Amino acid sequence: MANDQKKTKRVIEFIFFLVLILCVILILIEIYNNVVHELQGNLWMMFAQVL
Amino acid sequence: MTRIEEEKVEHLLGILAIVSILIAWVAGSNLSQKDVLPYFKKAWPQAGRFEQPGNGIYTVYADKTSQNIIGYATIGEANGYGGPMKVVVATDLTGNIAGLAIVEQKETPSFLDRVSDSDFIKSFVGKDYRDSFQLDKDVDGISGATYTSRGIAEAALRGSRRIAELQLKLPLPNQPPAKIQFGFPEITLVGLYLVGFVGHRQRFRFKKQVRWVSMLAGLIILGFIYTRPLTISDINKLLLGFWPQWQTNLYWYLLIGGILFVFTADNKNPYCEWFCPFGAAQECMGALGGAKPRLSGRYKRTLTWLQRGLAWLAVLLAVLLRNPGLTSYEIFGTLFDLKGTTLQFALLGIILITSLFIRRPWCSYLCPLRPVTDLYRTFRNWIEELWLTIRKKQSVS
Repeated sequence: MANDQKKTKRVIEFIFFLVLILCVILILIEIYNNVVHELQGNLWMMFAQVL
Repeated sequence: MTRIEEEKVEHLLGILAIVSILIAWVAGSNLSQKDVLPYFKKAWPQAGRFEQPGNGIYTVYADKTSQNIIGYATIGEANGYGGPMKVVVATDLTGNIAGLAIVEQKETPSFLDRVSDSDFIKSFVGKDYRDSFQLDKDVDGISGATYTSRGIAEAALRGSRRIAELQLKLPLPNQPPAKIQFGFPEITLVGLYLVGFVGHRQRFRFKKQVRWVSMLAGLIILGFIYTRPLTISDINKLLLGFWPQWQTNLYWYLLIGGILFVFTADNKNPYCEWFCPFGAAQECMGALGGAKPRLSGRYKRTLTWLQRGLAWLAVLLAVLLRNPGLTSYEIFGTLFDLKGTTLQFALLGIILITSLFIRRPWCSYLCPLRPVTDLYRTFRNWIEELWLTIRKKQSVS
């Protein structure tokens, strides 16, 4: 019984971890979209200029 | 890895993060300037051509070949919400505005969208250079983008008066000194700091109740009514030196200055746990669902490092591209103003649902401000320890 509860707790923890990883991915896409919009698609040109 | 070894790695990575941001700050100055001529055409599409005699003011001709001058144009500069903005200002020969176009801005995309989607820019056409260009008096400001609209109005005023003075040789009206903006949001902010100061005392009996009052006040007043929570763009503005005029942006100085002061003097975060509107929204959800800090061990560690990585990326890109609001990925405006992209609404939905089960998931694992405050606290404590060691050595000798 105690083992079952422990297992369920671990599964729930893993699901929440995946949900938060999904949020991180959404944030990265949001940042990427904003940066590309700002540079009007010239992302690589900016890196070339900086370097 | 022992706790001491972990701390050493954390300190090393903290220093590396600061060094990389400094490198980005320097590298950002090498990025090329924009070609401004297309923006002159955008400001006054009917004009034939623009020629610059050399003093920063362009002469506007009726068509591509004739010498028929119809007006002048220049670039007006002012501070918006995110930093300096450049606006092309074109006037006719009597000093009335013929058109405006934004050349460069550092605004949070959602704020700028509100201005672009409205007729705000068009509302300046026909205004006289002697007008005061005050929001809600001369021109209607855009709700939820007050600082952006104020920045554009200020740039239009400066540009039109520059043309009137230098090119048209017209007399300028007396400019009244900037009025100090100290209204309800500023009073609320000061009040919340005071409540936090009392509430943070160790032996205060009603700490829990006062904290809830403070959070709800933050949620309603700073969140839903004024939508002015602290975001990473405020930190980026501070780092980039885009400090707005204090008279019209007293709220920003009180918010940033208050947090830095309390942190430095008392080593306590007066904002996040006490009156951050988004934190309060999550806690309300958590109270409904019985949220707990459910993640532990490696999951917690992985997410903490991802959170730090996101914050580092947000600051690095903002500093590199000289745009504080560009990487401000917070979803505060999405909740309080119901404005944002599909991605932001999806993120908001996930966070609010997760808040029912996990205590403050955004603050704990995603908010970019937490790594910033952690880093500030680390360096503050390090300096304090160094100071105490020096004093101890001095008193022994």
